[in-house]
Parts: sequence; structure tokens; C-alpha cells
Amino acid sequence: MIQRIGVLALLIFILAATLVSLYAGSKGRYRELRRIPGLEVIKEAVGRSAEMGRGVIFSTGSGSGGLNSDSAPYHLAGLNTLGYVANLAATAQTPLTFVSAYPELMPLAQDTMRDAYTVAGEPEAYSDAAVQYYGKGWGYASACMGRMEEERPAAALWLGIFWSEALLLSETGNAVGAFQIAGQPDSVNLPFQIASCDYVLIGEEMFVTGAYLSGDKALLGSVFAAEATKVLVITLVVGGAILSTISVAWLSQLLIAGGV
Amino acid sequence: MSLINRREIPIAIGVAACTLVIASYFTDNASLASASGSLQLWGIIIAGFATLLGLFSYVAYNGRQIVKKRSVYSGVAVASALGTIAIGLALSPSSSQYSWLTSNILTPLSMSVGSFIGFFIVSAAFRTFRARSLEAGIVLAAAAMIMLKNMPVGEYLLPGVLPLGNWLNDIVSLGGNRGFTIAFAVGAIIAGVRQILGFERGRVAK
Repeated sequence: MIQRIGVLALLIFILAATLVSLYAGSKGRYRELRRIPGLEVIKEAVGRSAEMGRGVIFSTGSGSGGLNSDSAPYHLAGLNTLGYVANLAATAQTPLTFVSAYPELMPLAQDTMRDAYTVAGEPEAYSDAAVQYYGKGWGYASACMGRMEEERPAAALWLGIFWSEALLLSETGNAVGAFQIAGQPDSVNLPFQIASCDYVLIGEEMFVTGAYLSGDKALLGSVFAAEATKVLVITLVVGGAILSTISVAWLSQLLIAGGV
Repeated sequence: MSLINRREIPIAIGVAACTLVIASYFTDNASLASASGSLQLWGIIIAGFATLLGLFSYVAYNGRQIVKKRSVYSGVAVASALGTIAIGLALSPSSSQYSWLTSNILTPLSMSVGSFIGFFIVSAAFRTFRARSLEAGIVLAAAAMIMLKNMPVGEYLLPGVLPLGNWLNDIVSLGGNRGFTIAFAVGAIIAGVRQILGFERGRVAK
């Protein structure tokens, strides 16, 4: 027996749109994305660290949990960017530290960084000690703050999911003069990062880093699928609001019955 | 070329696991539900073992700091971690001694770190509310309205600020928040689909 028809229909739409746009992208249908300043300045941030002879600190945050929680997509999105940052850091020969709030992120981060250093031709510059585990919550926040005060990194990247630790980390980064780039889904704590950081990735910008930074044509196509889905959602929201206003409830009832 | 490729095998396992868990969400098939539950349990068990890796890394890093005599706090950190583990293992986490550690050391320390937020909000707000552009000016005006709305004398100082503040909170802010949430959710779903289809290969060995 099939359940949650509405969610399934939406998933099938997204799957179909992604497949079609990945195929169209691989054929060169989509050439470029709009500029995302927060991603473009990553190279500048790492270069600045190298010039100043100071390091780079990177974390995916604490959030609600690790890879067994609903925070998993955000940790993985952050790790996708870590590879690019590690490659730049290896090329610029500037130390990069990844701070993990969850132990299961450590092997992923170590693997990503090791690959990036190898691709950059600097495998000997990588050490597993570059990935640190500080536990979650306030312990993680205070350890990160202490480390920043001690090492005074020239760049800090907070890409993942940050709850109440967001302001503690970004204000400490600001105090030590780090160039900061942030991105996360929590709308309660994002404004704090906007106030404290130099650049912030808003909304789904964090999920297009792979496509944006690699320039992979197929992945560029998948960004079109996200746009198509947003158009569908906006149509449903606006259509539902109009229909409900004129007392036509079939659309909202259909969505509720479908589990949306 | 070896069929057992370092890259394709992990992707195939990931695709199979994702498909199974998604399929169990949309059906009431008992076998699928059981297999999905087992997979998720495996995830928890693997994460549990990863904790040992985290502990090892934590002790190794701080141990190096102690050996190099860089920081006395590393010694405190290692002693605290190992001491807590020892008491938990010897007397159980529900023992009164373990509860004492939590309520008399961990909780006050956590509250102290958390209280920094109040000071940091002030310094962040000071920078944010400098009206250097039209956008910053709008943020400043909206923030002033919300602060006045929340002050007991706000309505007296500026009549009408209460409904205006509520309108900003309940209509403008909520609408923006929901748009932001929808955009993020769509991005996360597409990233998940790319993962399931094996296109997101950033963390898989080259």
C-alpha cells in the first residue's frame, strides 16, 4: 500500500527534474550560474591566510546532531566545500584545521582533506591531526573559541549547521581579525552570522558549491532542477492561498491528505 | 580495470541504502520497514564506534600539547574527559556521583559559556545597526521598532508601535523565514537526490 501520495508525487517530480536537468547539463545546455560572492571569495580568504602566515579554520557546526540526524545534509554540504578549501590550502601551503562536533564526521573530513592534498601535489603536507574533535554544544564552542584565540586564524569558514554557538564562533573570529564566510539553514541564528561574518551563503546557495566550484556541467544542470522545484512550490503556495481565500479548499485538502 | 572499484562500490552501497530507506517511508511493507530500521541502527552503531575515534583524537591532540608543555588546560581537558568516563563506567551514568559531576561542573560551565552570547549580541548589534546603506537603515528601523515593542514603555514612547512590531514579526519576518526555509529544503532535497544518484562525489575517493 502506497502512503503519503503528495510527498511521493513531489519526490518523483524532483527526481525527474533532476535527471532531465543533469542530462541537459551534461550536453552543455546550462553554461553558468549567477555569481555567488560567498563562494568566490574563498580563494581570497585562503590566499590572505597564506600571505599573513596564519591558518584557516573550518567547521560544519554542532546543530541538532551528526550524520544520524536531520542535520546530516548540512554537514555533508559543508564537507563538499572542505575539499575545495583543502585543495587551495595545500596549494598555498597554509595550515587548515577542520573542527568537528561529531566523531563520525572525522573520517569523512580526513578522507576529503587527504584527497585534496594529494590532488594538489602536497600529500606529505597533510596530517590526520588537521581534523580535530571537540565534542558538541558549549564544549565545542568554547574549544573553538580557545583555539581561535590561541592560533588567530586569518580565515574562518562556518559552513554547515550552527545553533546557539553561531554567534560565539563568529564574534570570536571577528575579534581575532579572521576573514569569515558562513552558511547555514537555521534562520534564528543566521542573522547573527550575517552581523559578524564578511560573507554569508543564504538559502540553498550552500548546496550548489559542488556545481559552482567544480564547474561540472551535469551538476550545473541539477541547479536548474532546484529552480524548477521552487517554481512548483511557489505556484502551490500562491495557488493554495488564492483558492483558500475564495473558499475553495480542494488543493489544501489534497496536499494535507497527501502528507505534504 | 578492476571491477571492484574504490569509487563505484561505495556509491552503489549508498544508492541501495538510500533507496531502501525511502521505499520503506512510502509503503507499509513490514520487511522493508525492518530492513530500513536495521540500516538506521547500523548507522547509530557505526557512529558509536566513531566516538572512540573522536576520543582517541581528542586525547592524542591534548597529549601532544601536554608533552610539548604548550598548555596546562590540555591536561585539565584530558583529566576531565578520562575522569568522567571512568566514573561513568565504574558507577554508571545514573549514579549520584556522576549526576554531581553533571549538575555541579558541566551545567555551570555550560551556562557560563552560553552567557557570553549576551555580550556578543551587543557587539554584533553595534556593527550591524550602523546605517551605512539603505539596507542597513531598513534593518536598523525594523530593529528599533521591535526593541520598542518589547519595552514596557514602548507603547507610551511611540503610540502604535505594538501593532506595528507585531505586524513586522508575524507578517514580514515570518513570510521571509518561510521563504528561506522552503528554499533551503528544496536545496537539501536536490542535494540528496544527487547523492542518491551518485553525482555528488565530493567525499568519495578519486
